[in-house]
Amino acid sequence: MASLQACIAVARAPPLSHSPCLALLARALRPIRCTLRPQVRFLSGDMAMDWSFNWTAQGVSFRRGEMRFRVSLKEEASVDAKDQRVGAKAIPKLMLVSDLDNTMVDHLDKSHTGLLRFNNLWAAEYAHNSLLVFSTGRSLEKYTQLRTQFPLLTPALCIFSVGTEICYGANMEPDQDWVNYLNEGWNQAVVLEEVKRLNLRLQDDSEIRPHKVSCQIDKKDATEIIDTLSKRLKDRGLNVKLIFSHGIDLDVLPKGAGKGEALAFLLQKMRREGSAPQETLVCGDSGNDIELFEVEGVNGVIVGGAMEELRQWYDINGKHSSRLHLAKERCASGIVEAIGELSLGPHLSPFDRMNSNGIQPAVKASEKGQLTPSGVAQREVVEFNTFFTKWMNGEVPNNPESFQRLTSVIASGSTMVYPWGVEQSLLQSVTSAQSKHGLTKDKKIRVWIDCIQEQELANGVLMVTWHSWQMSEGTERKGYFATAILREKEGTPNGVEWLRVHETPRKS
Amino acid sequence: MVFSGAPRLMVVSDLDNTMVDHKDDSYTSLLRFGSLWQADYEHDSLLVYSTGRSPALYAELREEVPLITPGITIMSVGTEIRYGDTMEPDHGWEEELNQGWDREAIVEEGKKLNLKFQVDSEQRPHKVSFYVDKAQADEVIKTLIERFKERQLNAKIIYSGGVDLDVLPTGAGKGQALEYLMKKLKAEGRAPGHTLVCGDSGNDAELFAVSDVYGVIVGNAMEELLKWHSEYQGDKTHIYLAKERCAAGILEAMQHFDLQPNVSPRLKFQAYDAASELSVSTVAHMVVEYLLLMEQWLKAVVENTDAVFNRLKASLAPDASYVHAYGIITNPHEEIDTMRELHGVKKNKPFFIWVDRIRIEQLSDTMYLARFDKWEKSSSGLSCAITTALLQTKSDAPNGLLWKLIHETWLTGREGSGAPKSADSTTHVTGKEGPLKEVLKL
Repeated sequence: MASLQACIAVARAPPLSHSPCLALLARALRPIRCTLRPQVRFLSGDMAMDWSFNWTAQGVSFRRGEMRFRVSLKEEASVDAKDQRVGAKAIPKLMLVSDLDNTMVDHLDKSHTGLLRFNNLWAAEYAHNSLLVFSTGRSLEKYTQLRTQFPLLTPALCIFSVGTEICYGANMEPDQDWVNYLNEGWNQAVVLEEVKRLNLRLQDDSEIRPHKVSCQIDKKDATEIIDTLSKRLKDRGLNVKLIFSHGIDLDVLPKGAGKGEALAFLLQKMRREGSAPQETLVCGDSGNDIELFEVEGVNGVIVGGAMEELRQWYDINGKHSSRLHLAKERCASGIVEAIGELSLGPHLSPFDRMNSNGIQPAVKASEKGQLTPSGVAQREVVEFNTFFTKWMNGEVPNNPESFQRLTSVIASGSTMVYPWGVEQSLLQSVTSAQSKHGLTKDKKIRVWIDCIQEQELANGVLMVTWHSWQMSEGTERKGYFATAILREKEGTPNGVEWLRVHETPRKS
Repeated sequence: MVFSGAPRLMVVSDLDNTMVDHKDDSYTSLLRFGSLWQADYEHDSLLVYSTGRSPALYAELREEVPLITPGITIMSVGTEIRYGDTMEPDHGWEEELNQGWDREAIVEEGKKLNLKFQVDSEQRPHKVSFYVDKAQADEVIKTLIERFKERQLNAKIIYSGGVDLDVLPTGAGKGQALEYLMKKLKAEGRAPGHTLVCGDSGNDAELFAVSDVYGVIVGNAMEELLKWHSEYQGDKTHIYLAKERCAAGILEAMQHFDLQPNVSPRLKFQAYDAASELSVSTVAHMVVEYLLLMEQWLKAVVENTDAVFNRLKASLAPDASYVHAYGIITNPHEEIDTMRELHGVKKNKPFFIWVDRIRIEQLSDTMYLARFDKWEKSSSGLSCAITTALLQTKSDAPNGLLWKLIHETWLTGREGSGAPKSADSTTHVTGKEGPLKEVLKL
């Protein structure tokens, strides 16, 4: 049985009776009589199937087992298109865990170019099958502040306060298991007492959290303070750890806490639930990110402009790992660079593919037995929006052939409802924009797409919903809720055409 | 009206005191007609308004009363024909009317007689309009006709409402405009299955003389039209004299001429057999009824029972999504319970919800796309949300249909208020525009 538990790469999937999977299994299990009852539980970019089965061998019956196969899609695989678009996020293809300040967020880049590039790539290629996680030293309050200043996407999960808080979704539901786990050997009141006894300078209220006490200390005193405080807290029966970073911040956390621990905890939890990601990429720039890189089985990127303490760690520990990349590009651009260098998936966003040289198409899946993987409608939405914005900004060449990219995907009779309350033929409104090439070149408009979701409504008809944001220099960002209906159509760049778009301004 | 085939029914109606009853400020019969039309006729029939009003006054009327959008608008006593939502003018008709028409000469003659000109907005390219007292009318008309003859002017006079005197090209008028329209439709292979013309006053008389139409003179018709009817020498079996006022009279005529369906959802809900074939027309009907049920719930026209409330709730998919025009997304299935407490919150108040421009498209066996305008009139004003909706078939749902998505945006200039919690909300939210809007200058 142990051999069967290894991952087998198979080229084909059910229908079952002709499946080489079954044949393979049957061969492996030949000495055992078994009845297989495969249950295809979920499918995503690469398929994974849970097959539960009973087996008997030589009159002895064994209990039901479960096996997992990782199927990498080869050219001849032709899965029923319906199965591909399950809609629910099952096994994420990639889980991207990123620090914020100076990793995802470049405080030196007022135009937010790197971050917008990342957002564009994520919405187009990853939102439908991957997980975005922010792991920040910031508290919830400071995180919320950061969000008003920078065009950040909405993550599926947020890990705050140096890995002491794990929160899910837009409502920031805290993970209760994590809270319970951290409560062991921890007492916030005691920590505060000891910190006071040493006359250490506490950080703002917002930085003192249920499972984190943060202070600021002088670099030169660091070693001594850390030693003393550790001993004192140990004497009082607590089980804590101290993290010193950025040359000034000292965080006191439960021993089990930390960015790395939080991530490991998450991965373990996901494994138990059968939703562990196929690949994980952690992204950081400073000392408190080191533990992220040390979590087993993850890929990592140290972004350009990273702090000395992390570079030193890389020189000693990470240089020879094929899963670790030291990026040249700063911050979010460095993350995009790493996705490419580590072959974790597509790394050319519509943003990158559309520039003054023209439009490069996305990498095509091979022709033969082409699947319609889920996510094409999402890519179409992002591409369309990106091209349109770049056209207005004059960032793509002004030639009618490339504008055709837009008009060729609009179904006849399709309409659009604009957020300012006008309904118009979609073709007419797009066509009227053709003459407006470069209209905003002096005050470029920046657009990003968040919370993009795709759902198959019926055979070949898809609904995509998303939140779009617009900003330009000197104007406040404006948000919109959008819904689009698209339909499969051969011969279009992403295999879909537009039927209806509807946008509403978001309540501010 | 977006379809391109032959209309099953064409209704051509005057507005003031025919479709619109100015004496009823709850617009009961107008709303009844409107909901019948949207539910059962919008998808394959043609509604035409034929009014003496100029475009400016027509727009004013649209702001005041719950009129649904017609497929064709004939204004300024049949001198202006406009098509569709975008009101495209018919240039062919303009050219026809230009033949031998000398507007300046007519204005001169009016001045010579010291006639009182109507306001500027009522003076149109092919219409010169005066106010003339009933007492002087006959005299003035006689004189003008003489003058026009002397100067060989191509002009005719229409006197109506006991005050309006319009001078138009001889070839113009409500009747001629309709004939022109019908000829055009026929030429395109789109002759209507039936046509019903509706009027109440002098300038409507010509409508009834058009061949192959049914006609209704509404219950509150003016003396001048009734006089015309009794003096009419031709065959008038096709003309029905309704007892009811205005739009109710039109509905009465539809019953009389057996134009089906003719019972408004506002009078009676249709019970659909869940197993029966859903189609774009029945889905339209269900959408109209659902919003009607909302209104009736808020006004306590329906009872606060589990059965009724369940019709509201069970029509929403558990995972439905509602993007409100005021900029928040909710799950209506989860939120509908708050509606339970709102039963009767608009009782005896002026509050109406109606649907306009409904278009249904079948996306698949199980999915329909609906597009419509949802209007709401209350004491705090008039608001309209342009709506996109997805409806999904489900055998055990009321009428076999579930709302899966509702997405609304305020129609420009018609913004409503935020979340409807109380009986009267008065805050107005102005439209939010991003940088792209200015740029596109839509």
